[in-house]
Amino acid sequence: MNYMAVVAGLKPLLDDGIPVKSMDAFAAACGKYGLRFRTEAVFLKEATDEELEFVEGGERLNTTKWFGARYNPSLQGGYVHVFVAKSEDAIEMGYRAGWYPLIIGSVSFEKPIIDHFRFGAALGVPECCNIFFMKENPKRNFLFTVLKNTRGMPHYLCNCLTKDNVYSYTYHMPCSFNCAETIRYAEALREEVKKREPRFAAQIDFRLKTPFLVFEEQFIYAFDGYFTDFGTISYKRAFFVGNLRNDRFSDLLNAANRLRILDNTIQLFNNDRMVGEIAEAGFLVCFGE
Amino acid sequence: MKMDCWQIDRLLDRLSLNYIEQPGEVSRWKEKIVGSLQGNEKSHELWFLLGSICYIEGDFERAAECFTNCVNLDPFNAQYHKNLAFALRQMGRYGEFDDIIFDKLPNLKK
Repeated sequence: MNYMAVVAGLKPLLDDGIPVKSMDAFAAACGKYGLRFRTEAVFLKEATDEELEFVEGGERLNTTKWFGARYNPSLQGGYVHVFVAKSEDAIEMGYRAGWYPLIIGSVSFEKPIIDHFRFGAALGVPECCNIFFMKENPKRNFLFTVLKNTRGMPHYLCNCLTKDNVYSYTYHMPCSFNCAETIRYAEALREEVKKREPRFAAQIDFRLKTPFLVFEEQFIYAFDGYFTDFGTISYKRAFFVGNLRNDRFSDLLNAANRLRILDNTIQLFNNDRMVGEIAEAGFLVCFGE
Repeated sequence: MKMDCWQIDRLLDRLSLNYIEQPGEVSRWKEKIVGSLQGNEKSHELWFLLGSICYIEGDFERAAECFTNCVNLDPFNAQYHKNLAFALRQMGRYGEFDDIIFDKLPNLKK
């Protein structure tokens, strides 16, 4: 979806990870759509929790926990970090501030915090969202902070919970789940998608409006279901949304068809029979329009 | 001025946020540090703070000069090399950034 946004001129720049072996095909695809790109480092392999214990600075890593290296086309695996835009200026602006905290050798390197703001600006993130991210992201569970900053019903065009898969209009995390600037951007992108693939747009809309159980970024579940009461949903199936290493509850959630949040416990029921509990803080959210 | 790494990081985080919303406060800190450097030119901590503020303000050339002073005064401090690398990257000197991040830093030993 990011690519469509850049091609349509709605977003100045995106960054992505392309399998090393697919770089030739990627270059051809960019050429077809009038996109330029620049390669940076290679994300070689994701670090395990055991490996992170031996990484200097490993305890400060958040969602990116990867070993990295210089890009070399002859590498057999890994993903190339690329910056993609229609203009060289946009690529330059993003590239300078776009380093991810890769682990090189046994040390992780984080960029200066101000570069997160510069990178957000280069990616076209609305200023309100960019500032909010800078101020609030160091706190645990940023998505809950976004929810607390939301006045009124969360709007489905601000639903960033599925941003790492194809069913999403927005890639940035908004300052609230009804941020006007984010809605404006997502609506424009939605129109572009609808023009070309109306059934795809309908699928995205549907998936953005289902209930979600959020533990933290990259650790989220979507439900084919609906709210029956405050803090309670009934559902047919639960789907994990995020980094697979974080999925701990798919089996448990799918053994149930109703869940209720009570204090900091998630109670799971199969009809009226309690089948389990999750003693972790999470929140339920549903998006409307 | 003696601050440990944690205090410096917290200060830089706050200054980065303040710069976005109130650039004036960052300039006041810069003046204090420039003043403190008089007669303390061998203080790598002060050069680091000044370099970091210049980086926040977008004066990457000056930041690189400050971080180069840090590296010369304390050559085995990884944070100084790292920050120099990012200043060079912001100046478009990508090859030098790569050399520090991929070659020099992982092999930095006393």
